[in-house]
Amino acid sequence: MPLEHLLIIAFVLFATGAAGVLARRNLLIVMMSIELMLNAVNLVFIAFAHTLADNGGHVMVMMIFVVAAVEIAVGMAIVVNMYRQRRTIGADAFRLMRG
Amino acid sequence: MELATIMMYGFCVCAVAGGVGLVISRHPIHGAMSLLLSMMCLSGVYALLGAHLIAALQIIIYAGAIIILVVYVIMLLDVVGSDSAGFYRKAGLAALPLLVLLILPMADSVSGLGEAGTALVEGTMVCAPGTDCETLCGDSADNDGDGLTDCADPDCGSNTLCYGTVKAVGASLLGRYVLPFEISSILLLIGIVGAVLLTAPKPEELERAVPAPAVDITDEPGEQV
Repeated sequence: MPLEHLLIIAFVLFATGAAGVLARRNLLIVMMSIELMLNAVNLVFIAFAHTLADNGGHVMVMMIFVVAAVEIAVGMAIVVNMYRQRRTIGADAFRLMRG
Repeated sequence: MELATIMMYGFCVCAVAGGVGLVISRHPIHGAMSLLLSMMCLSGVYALLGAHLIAALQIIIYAGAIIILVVYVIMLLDVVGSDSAGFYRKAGLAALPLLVLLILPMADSVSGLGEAGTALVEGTMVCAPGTDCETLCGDSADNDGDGLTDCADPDCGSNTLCYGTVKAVGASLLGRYVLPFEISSILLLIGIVGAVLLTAPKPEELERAVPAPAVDITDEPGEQV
């Protein structure tokens, strides 16, 4: 399989995730879309690791796993906290930090 | 076309379909299941690309930890109908055509990068002139006398016998990439502290909470509280 096809798949996945972050109102969906974008980046790392025959890409993917796990743990804590206060998880309800 | 190639394209299509399903799902639990499908298919792609350890970790961490956490939160919060103002944000929808403009030049710039996997070495490794390296990666012997055998030696990282295995990736992780590894442990610690700090009830909330009824914890029979 040519490398470029894998990269295009990764771009499409990333764009799908970005569309979810931009266009969806539900914060849980937004969090999951961020995970999808991280996965697209993982796919690029694995594709290049395979092309260049270098294990470094695999190590970087493990770093991204850690980042994704931390991000979802802290993000879910924030979502639960906001739900306690506002009784909704719509992204537009959370304007506390708006200037 | 080879079977592996057909499977790879199938997994890729499946992964994209899962991603689209996530973005258009009405209920978050459907989104979580779509994301799970996408993760599983990407894991298949990784396995076909020779990244066996990452493929296993993808299922363990994403399906086993992250999706479970998301589903827990969805079940914990009563989110049905909370999207009452509409599923999509109008301003965000207006920005979507810009994404296409962003992706098109990227997709255009990657043409002609060649076939994946051609740099993998099969059989004997070739050393740089004048140096020793692990030449035979499958003979259970230390060829260059540096104390590292077969796949545990970084020289063998690009051999087809070693590429993507636990031993080779672990050797990279604790050798060349040990600093990012240590930094990621600090990041995990920060994540744990942050999650606990954000969800723990505040002291005044604890005081306001109704105390739990007293329960007799002694083992003596007969005396009920």
